Amino acid sequence: MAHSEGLIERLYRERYVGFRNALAPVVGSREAAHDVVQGAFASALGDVRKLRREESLAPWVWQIALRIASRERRRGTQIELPPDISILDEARDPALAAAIRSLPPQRRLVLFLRYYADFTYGEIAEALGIAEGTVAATLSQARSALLDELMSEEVAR
Amino acid sequence: MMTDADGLLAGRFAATRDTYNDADWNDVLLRRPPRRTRARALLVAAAIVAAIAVVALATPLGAAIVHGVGGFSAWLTGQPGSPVSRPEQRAFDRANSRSWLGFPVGTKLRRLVTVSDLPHGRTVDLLGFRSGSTLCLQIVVSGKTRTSTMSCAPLAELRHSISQVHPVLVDSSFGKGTKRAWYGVDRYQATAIQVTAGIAADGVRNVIVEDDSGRHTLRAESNAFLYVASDPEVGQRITHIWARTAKALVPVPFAPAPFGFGGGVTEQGEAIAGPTKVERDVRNGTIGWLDRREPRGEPLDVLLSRAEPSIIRRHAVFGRVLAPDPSLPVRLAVTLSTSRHGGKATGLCSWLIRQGGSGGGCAVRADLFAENPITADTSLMSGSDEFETVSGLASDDVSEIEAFFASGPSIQVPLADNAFIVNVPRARLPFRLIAYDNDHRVIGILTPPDIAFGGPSPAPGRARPLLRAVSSNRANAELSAGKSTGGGRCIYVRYDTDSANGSMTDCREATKDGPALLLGTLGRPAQFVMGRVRSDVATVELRFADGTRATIDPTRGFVLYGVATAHLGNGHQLVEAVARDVSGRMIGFEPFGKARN
Repeated sequence: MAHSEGLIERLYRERYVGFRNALAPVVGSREAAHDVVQGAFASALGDVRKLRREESLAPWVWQIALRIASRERRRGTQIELPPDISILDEARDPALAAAIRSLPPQRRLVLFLRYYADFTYGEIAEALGIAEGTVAATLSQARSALLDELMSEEVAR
Repeated sequence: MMTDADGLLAGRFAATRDTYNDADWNDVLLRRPPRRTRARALLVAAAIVAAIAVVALATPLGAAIVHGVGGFSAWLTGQPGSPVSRPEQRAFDRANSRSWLGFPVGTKLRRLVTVSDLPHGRTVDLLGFRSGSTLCLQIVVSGKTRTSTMSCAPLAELRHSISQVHPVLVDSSFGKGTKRAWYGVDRYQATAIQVTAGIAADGVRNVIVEDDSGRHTLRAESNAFLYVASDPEVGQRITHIWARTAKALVPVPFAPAPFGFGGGVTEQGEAIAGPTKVERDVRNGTIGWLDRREPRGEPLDVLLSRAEPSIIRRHAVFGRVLAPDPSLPVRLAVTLSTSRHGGKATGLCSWLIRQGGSGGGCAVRADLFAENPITADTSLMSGSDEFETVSGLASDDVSEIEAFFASGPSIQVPLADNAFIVNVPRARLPFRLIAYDNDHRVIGILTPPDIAFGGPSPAPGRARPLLRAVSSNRANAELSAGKSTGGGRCIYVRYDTDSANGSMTDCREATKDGPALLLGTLGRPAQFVMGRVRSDVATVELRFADGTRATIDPTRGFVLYGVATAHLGNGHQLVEAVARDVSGRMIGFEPFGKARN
């Protein structure tokens, strides 16, 4: 168990900011995301025996965080994402923020997990309970849609 | 495999990433649910939680019970007290937006406590708010005196709290009072009011403060307390604070506000917690982005027209303004600078920039991390602040910094772009900073410089003149002695030399086991020698660079000597003093720096 706790601490130290940044659009602020991520890692420490595979650690902690964020404690329940989930500081890249808002919330979350939390396709699949192929397809579609939006933004300038 | 589209989007997303790192593993450990090994215990715990939840939903009392479990829950959720009025919020927003070093937009001010029945129609409001990982208290005085002050504390101090009450401001002074008193050679005027305020946990009923006027019981409301001493005596200070809960009266640790100088430090005999050994030796570290001159943070141009000292930009060839903790209205300017003669940028300067004052200095770039991968400075805006600001730089080897104290839990130090700023509680000093590498090995241990408030200070009462001296170039000085808070005597020397005039105070005691001589000089080169000697010192021999000597007989343990003109020139100056007992035996020695030849 000490080994697993060590893995959790390592995951926290290496990827805390990514977790927080990916969660901030869901909960609406950096501070709220901080509280949720802290709580998620604390819960993970408490439930460390439930971890089956080391490779599943990041998705597992993410699932806990998302449940805490949505105050949904039951396992296996589909989390309902807020419809306005977007980049927290839109002023940094208004065009990207606008393009992201044109996507469905679940697709946006896949992007945040990929580009903020640095999740692999496998980790995203496990975190969201979808097939890895679905992740690849979702990301591909999201990228196409985003690039279309960004290109049209560039052309319009 | 990353495609072109993936790379393009990764770049766009990377530019919107929030790089602020407020990770705090200790906080995770403290939030960790307690382990239960027996199924029965789990069932009991579940039943208790369920019962509390039901009570909480059913009655207002229930909400109080839940809060009682949470400690400082109102502050941790950012909702202490009640919202201020719209005009007050607008006034705060306007003032905040005018300041470059403001709090984040959208910061909501909350009203905590008001004391209104004060003389001259004065009212004191205690307002507060949470900004990111920081909580701040603002004291607003209205009526005859209209002014305000603010002090902030790290939220982690509450999350990991070992105390149920946290003073944030102690004896903060406002306006001019009516009372006057002599302290040494100065007659002070008292302030109109002195305010002490802080945070109280949910279970605290009262906060009791004791000052020179007696004990005062304050109601803890909105997770805060406020004490206003109206028309206090000169030098009146809070000496004790207690928290009264349903079960006990608990002493509250705090750092008393200094008066004049001295008397502002708490007794700390405990050792500092945390690692004491470096696990990986790191020397001669660098700050890569600074060497590559990458545009981190903001440009130095943001300092223009901000009334920041031009010295920050002077001789700077490159510099950036960094915000290690964006929730604090404090920045750190870092510059690569040349000497005043130009040449290569061999200097690395850092400046702490805050509303109401900036400070900093320069070091030789190559020496900065020669022995330690972190450097730090300490600053305090007011002696009433219970938290002092520690800021500094870390080399690229450092991935995490943690502050350990003599008491209580450690604090995770916000670190970004190799810069850090953290507010540390003076009540828990001394402290040290521990730097870790990526593998969480200790690579640096640093005890930052202390803001010296310790030791005795002037006690009430007027000092009496003891010695006068005139140097041969007609400079004059007078030494007076008065009582000190340590039971001994303070000396005051007023001087008027060809280069300066003013006064100095020294309350150090010449103890039996201490040095035989506690001397100092005035003027450069030294025109006066003054100070005190140990009781067994019969004569003091002054030695000059040209080999000549002069002998002084101390008066009641004090010394004041005017240096002759012949000993002011190069090659003739004062170099050292020797103490001799009645038998002529040398029992002490004090050097005065290198003489110029």
